[in-house]
Amino acid sequence: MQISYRIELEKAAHRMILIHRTDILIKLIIRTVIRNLKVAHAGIFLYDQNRESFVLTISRGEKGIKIPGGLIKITPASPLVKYFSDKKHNIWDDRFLLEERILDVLHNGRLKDDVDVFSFLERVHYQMVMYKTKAALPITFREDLLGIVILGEKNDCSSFQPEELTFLSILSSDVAMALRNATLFEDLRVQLDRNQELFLQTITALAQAIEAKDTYTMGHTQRVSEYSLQICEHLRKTKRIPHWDQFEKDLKIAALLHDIGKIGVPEQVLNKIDPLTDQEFELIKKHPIIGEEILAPIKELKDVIGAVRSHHERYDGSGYPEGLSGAKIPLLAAVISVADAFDAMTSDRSYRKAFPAYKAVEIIKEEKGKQFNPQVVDAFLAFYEEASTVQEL
Amino acid sequence: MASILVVDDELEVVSFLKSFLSRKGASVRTATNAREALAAYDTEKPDLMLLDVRMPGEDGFFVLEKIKQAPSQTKIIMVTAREDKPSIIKAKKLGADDYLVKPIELEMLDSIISQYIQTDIN
Repeated sequence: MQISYRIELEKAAHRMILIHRTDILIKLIIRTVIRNLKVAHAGIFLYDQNRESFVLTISRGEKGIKIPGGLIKITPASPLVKYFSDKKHNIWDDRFLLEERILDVLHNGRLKDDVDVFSFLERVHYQMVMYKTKAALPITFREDLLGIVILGEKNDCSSFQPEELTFLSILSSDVAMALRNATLFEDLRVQLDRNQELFLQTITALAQAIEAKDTYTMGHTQRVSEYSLQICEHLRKTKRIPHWDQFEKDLKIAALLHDIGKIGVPEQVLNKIDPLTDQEFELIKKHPIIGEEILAPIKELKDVIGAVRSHHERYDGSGYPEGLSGAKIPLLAAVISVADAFDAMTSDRSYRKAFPAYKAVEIIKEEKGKQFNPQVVDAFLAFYEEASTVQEL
Repeated sequence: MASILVVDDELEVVSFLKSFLSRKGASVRTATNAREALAAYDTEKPDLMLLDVRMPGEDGFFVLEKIKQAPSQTKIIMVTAREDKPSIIKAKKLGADDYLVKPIELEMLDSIISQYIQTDIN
């Protein structure tokens, strides 16, 4: 192999390590091919799962000859793809499809007895002419055809030399590797997203289990979750929240699960119309602890569990179950507490009608620094103001 | 010789299609926006038009509507990335003769073109 090709291949190997974006890597490889082999154009058809076809994604070359990326596709049933995907069509030993060879076969009559092969090659050739392709080679990983590289005519109209073909096949296996890696990363990401989604849906299902018991709280958890996230958005503007992403995720889950402990409170107590006796109120007051116990086995949810336990604590220390005050109350719990109170006041209850929103807001303002964390109340007010201008509440 | 007008705001697309169709023996004019397209239509009255939808300024539907308002011999094939049903229905209603979604199969374009016009092969 000529020195220059070896150098180019070493460079390509380097890029493989440095560049993780497949599109950039493929662009560079196409550029390398054009520069070294001096062809009029070169491009790569890549398999597109959604379209179930090979789309000419990246190409370079002279004006008018270059096929614009994204304009053209070929289906798996087309002869060019069939040649590479179906072994029985491989007429030559190596992986290359060269126009020169096809013309040789078509003209010298060598295969004219084999009508099937002959007409297949004619159709392959028709496609190659259409794409002004003098040479094509597959990009494969194990048995899978990931793409096809096409090359136009060389500027001096000469044939492709064996060393040039070797150079190409090494580059194409680099492309295959890069594509394969990218696909694996993408699959992993999709899988993680799916797991996250499944997890949230499970949480939502759990939250709905609580609502099934307590008819007056229909949609309550969902709304508390939405309000909490909105409050949090505003809180973030005035307060530095460490590990913001995780905080937001935890808040969403904690808000959905904050009343999970009500599963352990008798229905007749939850839905009672008359005022609660002291004993019944003690039962209700157990729900944060019951919630904590239900979720305890899920070690990953440590902060969420803390928020579930403390969402009835009050800023002045008069809440339950522990009577925590001020900064001792986890911020997650302080946010949920305001969202929970607002939704509770603006919804009908078994023992009273809903308050109008402005009235609930007044009460929350009065309780700033007493029942509620002052910073959270300010964030809530900012959210309320914003939402009422667009009439969401 | 069959005459074809290619309309697309992407220069690369226009020049590739022009080269492809010229090789098939057609006389090809090009335009990269609605105004140019209508002007070229008025002077050329082409047999066939390949028409993109999304272009800066007035879009391909505007061009299609303008042309098909009056009796016209020109066959119009939409060649667009828009694959939503409403766009396809709209094109049909405005009088488009065919609709190809990008990325297109060149073979498909080839056979549609031969269907509408007699090209001198090679």
